[in-house]
Amino acid sequence: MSSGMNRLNIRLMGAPEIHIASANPAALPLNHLKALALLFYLAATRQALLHSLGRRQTRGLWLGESG
Amino acid sequence: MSPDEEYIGELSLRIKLVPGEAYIWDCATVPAFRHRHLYSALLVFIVGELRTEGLCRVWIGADQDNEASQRGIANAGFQHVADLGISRVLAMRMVWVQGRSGVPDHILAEARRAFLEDRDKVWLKALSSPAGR
Repeated sequence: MSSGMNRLNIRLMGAPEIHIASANPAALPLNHLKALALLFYLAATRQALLHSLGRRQTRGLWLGESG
Repeated sequence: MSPDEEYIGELSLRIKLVPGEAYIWDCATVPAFRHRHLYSALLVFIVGELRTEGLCRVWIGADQDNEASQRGIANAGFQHVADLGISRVLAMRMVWVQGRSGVPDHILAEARRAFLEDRDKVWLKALSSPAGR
């Protein structure tokens, strides 16, 4: 891993698959079904996720004190 | 104006106040009457009335992008002490209170107590209604 980054390929057509360049398939946590399901969901809906993450609302809290 | 507990629908957040506190919310000025400093004058009047009733701490909120409201609140003598943040991630909402620079810790603690029930950050389930998502 010379650059410190590996390409992650996710295939969602048919049975979902994950491929990571230079990674040992046996080392992938493929037995964590919920984590995989979430990863596939995020991959499939990344636009919606980024949109939802952008929906940040901030409200200033002001305080008036007397006496 | 809420003196104890109130559900803020626009934020989907329930706040809890202690005796002596109040929260002013849902304020708006009819467009034809804007730019006359009526909001500031009304806030000053409300705070004065609350003071006669024994309330000594008044909270008010304003959206970050509502500069006119913030000016009006500041002109009424309020101090911007913290920001209430809400992020939506999937079906969950995270709510937190971030203190402004220079605000004493005990004031920030009071804000977190009122708006987060003493928790630094709160994850809340999104409402089931489409409007809450």
